[in-house]
Amino acid sequence: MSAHASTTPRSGSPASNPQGPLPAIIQLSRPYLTPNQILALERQVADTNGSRDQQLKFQAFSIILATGSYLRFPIRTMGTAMIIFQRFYLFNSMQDFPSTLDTALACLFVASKTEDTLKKLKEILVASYYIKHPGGPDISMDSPVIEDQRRRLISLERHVLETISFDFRVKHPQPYIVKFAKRLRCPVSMAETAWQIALDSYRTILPLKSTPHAIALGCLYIAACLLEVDISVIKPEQFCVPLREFENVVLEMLEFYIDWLPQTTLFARYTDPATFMSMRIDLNKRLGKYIEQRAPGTHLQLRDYAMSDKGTVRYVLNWERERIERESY
Amino acid sequence: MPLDAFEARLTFIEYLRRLNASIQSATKCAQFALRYQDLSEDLYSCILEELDKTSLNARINILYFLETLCENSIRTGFEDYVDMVTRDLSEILDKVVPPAQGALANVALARKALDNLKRKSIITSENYESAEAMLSEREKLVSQEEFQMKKELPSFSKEEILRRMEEDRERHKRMRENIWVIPPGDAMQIEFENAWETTSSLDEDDYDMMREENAILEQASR
Repeated sequence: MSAHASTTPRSGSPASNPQGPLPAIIQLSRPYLTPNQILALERQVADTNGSRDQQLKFQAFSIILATGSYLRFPIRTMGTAMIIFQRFYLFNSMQDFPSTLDTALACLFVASKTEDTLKKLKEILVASYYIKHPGGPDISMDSPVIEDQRRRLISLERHVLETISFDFRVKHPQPYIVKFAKRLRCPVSMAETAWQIALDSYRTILPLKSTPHAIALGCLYIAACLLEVDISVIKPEQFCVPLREFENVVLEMLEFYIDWLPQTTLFARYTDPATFMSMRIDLNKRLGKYIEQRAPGTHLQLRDYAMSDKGTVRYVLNWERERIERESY
Repeated sequence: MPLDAFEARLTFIEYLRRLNASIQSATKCAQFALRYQDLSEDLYSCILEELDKTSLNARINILYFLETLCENSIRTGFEDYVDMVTRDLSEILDKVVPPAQGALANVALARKALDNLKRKSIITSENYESAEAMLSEREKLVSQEEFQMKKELPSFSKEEILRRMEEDRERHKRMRENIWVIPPGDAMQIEFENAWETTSSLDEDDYDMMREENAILEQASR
């Protein structure tokens, strides 16, 4: 959700503004990124080892899910953590922040706060310890190992918060899955399968590119195909999802299942990637050759994490608000 | 390191006496009980004995400790404590809300603790029903005039009152922190079924939100 806005020095001398010098740097939150922006950011990270990085990310997701499950978090907390995690490593390189385990736990901690399912950081750390060492020696929250880890994570948390521009608005597809399923009068099994697919969607970059209701509809569509329920009733525009958006979501989810099926929740029931390949073929047939491109969007850069040492940084949720506030000076 | 039954009982009783509303004191006590699970019968009997002896405030702390004990037991797979608590549930409540003066102060908290046990699937609906019934009966009894605190008779000391207020506040805070917790079992199943039942149907507000979200998405392309 973050981008560098320009490093524009603000007008207004200290004399005319009784509050003192105005912030030197504004960082605008960007809840959604365009595919081009994501590609450009990925290219800026030096020396990436694509498949190794992807494995590290999957491991991090497993840790988030296992730890969250141990602590009995609702799925939205884990989902938010995974979204924040992916955003973090778009704007920060793994060279600078090599411990994906630490980052995963820091993201889970932030998510537990933003999703109102608060847990003390130490409780999260103790939980992740028990997951790593099941049946191991008892550990308490006062242990020096935990204390050490906590100190590391508190400073990491600052980087996470700055990366997301302190924007805690994360919406999830789950409520829409239920609402849409009921409106479409789907069988419960189809909604439940869609719910599982939504869980898998957190492992992709989709939540940073598409709206939650678009993702929800895509999940329902795939569930319908898998369970051989008639899908012709699904008209995306009726659910506020532009057709192009809907197609992007479905195609990306299908790609994900084709490439990474064993790492997904559906693997328990569907072990053959060919199932999804034929779905993709069918869908492409129906769409035809024309695929509308999304606008590229402003060029974004990696985060400069020393930024706050150079001057005051102001995090802005959207330009409207910033303009309104500026006009009141 | 193995302790003999006598030492273990003494130590455990110490832990029980040091219980307050904090989760740390409850966890320490529970971890001890689980570490020496081969002495579970002995340790459990200490609990019942303490419930007989201590003040009304302390009994509430023990009741809430039992919740922690059962949760940790389930988590580590040693279910004996849960069986014992379930079996003696009425007896335990009888001690926490005794037919005695001042017991009315413990009724509401006892009921909350009972609710927690059911919500966390530590006890079955059946256990819950019969325990609740017994609790309601007892409540009617101790609400009567003769069981109210009288000026001439010894009552809670000022210190005890303040401590109890603090502990109630602590429990309240803890409860609010736990209200979102997914009960044991298949989390995905539980959440899905809950969502299926409680989510409101698609309405105009939803459409407004979706349009707003589309607008935010559209800004990304600028």
